[in-house]
Amino acid sequence: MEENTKKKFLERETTRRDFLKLTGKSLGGVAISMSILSMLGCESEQAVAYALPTGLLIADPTKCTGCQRCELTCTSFHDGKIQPYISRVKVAENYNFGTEGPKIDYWKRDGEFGNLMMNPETCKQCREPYCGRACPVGAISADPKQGNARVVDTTKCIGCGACEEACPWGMPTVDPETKKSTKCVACGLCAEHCPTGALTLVPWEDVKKAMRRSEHRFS
Amino acid sequence: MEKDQYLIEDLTDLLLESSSTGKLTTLDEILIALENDDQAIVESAIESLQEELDLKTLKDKNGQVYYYSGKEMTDKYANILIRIQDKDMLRLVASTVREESRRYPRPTYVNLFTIPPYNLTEEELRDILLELSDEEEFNDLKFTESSNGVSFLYSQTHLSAGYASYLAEWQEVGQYEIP
Amino acid sequence: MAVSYGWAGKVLRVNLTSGKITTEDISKYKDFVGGMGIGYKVMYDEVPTGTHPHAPENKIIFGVGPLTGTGAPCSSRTNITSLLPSNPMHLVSDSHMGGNFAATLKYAGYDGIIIEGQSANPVWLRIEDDKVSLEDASGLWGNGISDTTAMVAGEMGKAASIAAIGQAGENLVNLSVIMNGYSHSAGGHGSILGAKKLKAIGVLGTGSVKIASTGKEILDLNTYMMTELIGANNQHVVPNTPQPWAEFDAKGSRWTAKKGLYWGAAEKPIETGEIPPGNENTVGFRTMKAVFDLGPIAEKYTKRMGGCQSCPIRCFSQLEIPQLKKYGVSTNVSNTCMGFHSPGGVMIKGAKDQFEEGDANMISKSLGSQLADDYGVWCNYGLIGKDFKHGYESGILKEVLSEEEYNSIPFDLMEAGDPAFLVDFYRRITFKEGEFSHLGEGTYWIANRWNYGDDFWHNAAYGIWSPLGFPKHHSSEAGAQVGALISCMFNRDSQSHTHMNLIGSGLPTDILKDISEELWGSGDAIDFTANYTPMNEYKAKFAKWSIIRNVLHDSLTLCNWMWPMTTSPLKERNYRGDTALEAKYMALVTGENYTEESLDLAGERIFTLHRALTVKQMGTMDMRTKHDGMMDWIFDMDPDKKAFTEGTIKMDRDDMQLALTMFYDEMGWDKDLGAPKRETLERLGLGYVADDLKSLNLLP
Repeated sequence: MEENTKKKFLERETTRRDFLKLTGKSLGGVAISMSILSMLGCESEQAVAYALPTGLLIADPTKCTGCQRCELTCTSFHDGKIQPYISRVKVAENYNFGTEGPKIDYWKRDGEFGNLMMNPETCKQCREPYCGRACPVGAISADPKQGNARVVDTTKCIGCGACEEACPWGMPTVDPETKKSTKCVACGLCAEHCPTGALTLVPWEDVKKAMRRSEHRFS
Repeated sequence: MEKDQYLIEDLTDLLLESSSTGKLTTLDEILIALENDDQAIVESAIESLQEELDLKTLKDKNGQVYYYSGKEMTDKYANILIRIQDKDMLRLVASTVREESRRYPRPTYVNLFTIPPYNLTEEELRDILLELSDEEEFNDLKFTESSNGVSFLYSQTHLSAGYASYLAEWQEVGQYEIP
Repeated sequence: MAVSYGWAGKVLRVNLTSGKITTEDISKYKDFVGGMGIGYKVMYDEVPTGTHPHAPENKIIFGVGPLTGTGAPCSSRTNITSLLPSNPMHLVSDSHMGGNFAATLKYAGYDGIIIEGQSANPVWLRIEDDKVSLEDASGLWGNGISDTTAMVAGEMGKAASIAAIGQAGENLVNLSVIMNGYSHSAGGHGSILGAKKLKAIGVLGTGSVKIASTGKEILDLNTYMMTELIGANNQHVVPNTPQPWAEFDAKGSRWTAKKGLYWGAAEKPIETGEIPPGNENTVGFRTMKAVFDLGPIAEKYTKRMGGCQSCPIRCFSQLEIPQLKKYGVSTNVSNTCMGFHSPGGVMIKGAKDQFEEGDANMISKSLGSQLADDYGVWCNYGLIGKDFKHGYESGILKEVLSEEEYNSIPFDLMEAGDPAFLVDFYRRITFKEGEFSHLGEGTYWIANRWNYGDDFWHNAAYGIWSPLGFPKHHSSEAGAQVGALISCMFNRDSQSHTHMNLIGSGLPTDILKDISEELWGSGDAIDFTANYTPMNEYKAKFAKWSIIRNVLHDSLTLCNWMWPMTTSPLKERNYRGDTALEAKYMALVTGENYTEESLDLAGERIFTLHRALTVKQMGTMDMRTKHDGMMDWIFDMDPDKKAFTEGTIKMDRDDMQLALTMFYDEMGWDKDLGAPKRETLERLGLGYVADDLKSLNLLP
């Protein structure tokens, strides 16, 4: 990367778009490189990172202990009730047997009954969201006011569940009580309250500081 | 110029980081870490952070000044560090043992002084224990042992032999029977 | 329909004889809060005295409360109430299990499940929100808990939370458990489900717990607790080693995080580190318990720490120990405290290193944990090992077993410290193989069957607390008369940690005394360790407060191994916690005007109902002599020492009787007998209980 570009980046207010330009990644939760992650203090190879408006969200499943406080925090804030089923980050459903559910050799696979690995799943804010494309009424789109996170417009949503079906990770969920879909709006609150930092939100200021101090060069 | 732009930010992080990791810092060490030889500017920056970081100072026996942040380090811990700096280990061990015997009350497990922040080697510890046994000034300090072979020191000014022995056994063995 | 805040609003009732499934409104239980409160109300009102635990007329109640599933830290506990088979008179008791089950039950829309009757054939209960059915369990019956859970999940989907019994429960072994989520087990009631032929309960919940406050308000309260109040496991508030941020440290503290201590088997080892309080994002690292329970060698096998939904503490050690493959059990281990300690106790001659130096305890304890947890065997808080030890060492076992049976048991392995012994031990208990397996009946029954004498019952080394056959568990060794009183008051070991968490918090005694003065009127409520003083009124108040809070937590439900927040790790708070926190949560969640006093009153109501029920079941008002007994060693230990001198925890008989009198008085029970009086029952809204007891001549 050009020295000039780096200098300008460090001097300006960092925005998420700038970071993405810097790393050559486009919006849409592609795994950020290990070198960047380790600069920010995350060593695990299983970690993945997503660029949110407020900072870099890093999900490290090796630190996840399955406490589900992320889920509890999410719906408390967004829905005013506690309902892990519609949580926009998903841990509980994978707790016992991992993402794939019980297999004949469950003791070897993910989950509490297996290798003890938890699978916290976060919305990938896909560039071409499956959920958005499947929605028959166009209720899911990028909201510039929320950093272009793909969000559900509940005034349009008809609760048909197409988004839920379409997403390969089953992230959007129709609330059986309100009949509206819920999905991650990239607010980062889950990370703010994670008791082990398995989900961490590194504010852009701190990303900038770490880069300045490490003299890091990006390829 | 660029250095000064980040001076406060880097100084803050430096002071918080050293205190939280159990280090007292001198001005010289700060100047080196910040790659800044402008003592006046750095001292002024330190002063400006006084309140925000609850900055405190301690002096060793040679008058060297050390900084720490009260937000990250307790005065008690800082005082232990300065006494270690002054190589006042014998009296540090004695006063620690006496205080624990008085306050908790409990005998002090001898290996406490081999872990941070004390970090004595086995040999250094042995020398100190020998001195404690020899000198009159430390007459009140006695040894006891739990049934699993862990050694303790206590002050008989505050704890009787029988009581210290019981407490040592409870601490090492008894309390783990009811997990 | 009006919105129900906190409570789901209904209790499920399942009759296994008729197959009828109904729901009833929570309103009749609200004065009893939930959880344990629902349990005792049902048991008192509906189960006739003299019912056998395995009879269809016995009921078993899975209860949760208004705070369960709200995201309040440590709020996913299920309280299970029923008659206790291992108790000599089958008196009522509670068991508890953490994990996800409790919260999921709330999300499905229930505050509890009342199970009555008996199925003719094995069934399992399937709950998917308001779709509840009894399913055929013939394919599940005979399987261990892990396989059972996998099979039920195969039917319901991966997200189901499943509680199950193992073969021990099926075979009506008294010492059996009900388990959910791999390692969260409730002790003593497994055989109740076995007798009812109810193999498992699977729950899926897509609904919500509603709160009267805004989401932000409850999140703020969570943050307050997470940053200012919560400590480490057992609410220990100082670190185990000296650390820059801490004024105090204590070697027995479960705040074990430090530099150089890792979750060693994580993909890249994760350091627990020196982590000051005030930071929400490191709370989960404070208690690295594997080395605490299994020795230093366990560090490199520890993948992470685990635990229950909503709890940031993570007190379950989760290890991968490949060496366990040799014994035919899963190599992935999850357990804590007595779950590890008890199998260690079954190895009565100790354990020897098996694969590498220093692994003796880790291998034997983790192996035992795997065996017991899959079979679903309980331990009576470790007493099963002592029951065995006495039989073996006294020679009684050799007398009561046939020569053939005795020789078939691999005692040579046990003598050699080889944990393979445990494979045989737990199998025999589970499948009721031979005379030996009667050890699975529990201390009282086995001591009677094999004629154990005073050298068993009154032996300080075994630590049996009560003639009812349960052990000490934060008893006279935890706060003198305070712990002793608490230990007498239930029908098994008290499972009460309120007092112990304070005593063991790691703070120096003078601070504990100051806190005691603020809460109960005088620092005399707490004695110095092993330097006890005679009974006083403040100790009676401390004991009452401890039990009330414990019972309240089992009803709200909150984990009493953490709550109440009596202390704080923050020097800035002068180490003072917030004992009104339960009430703050209740007020926000329900929107009703709960206070510390009103909640404590509810706790008092629930505990007194428990006492009244015990009186009724025993058919006597004389609780002092018939129920609140204590073994001789408590008073006769350390013969060369006197009670109330330093260096001993020996108690004095007259003083303990005075302690009982003062406690009875605090509770408003008859001062001589220890049975609840009418005026107290009426004050607590239990007038009908007074009437009932009066009709039976059981009212003082």
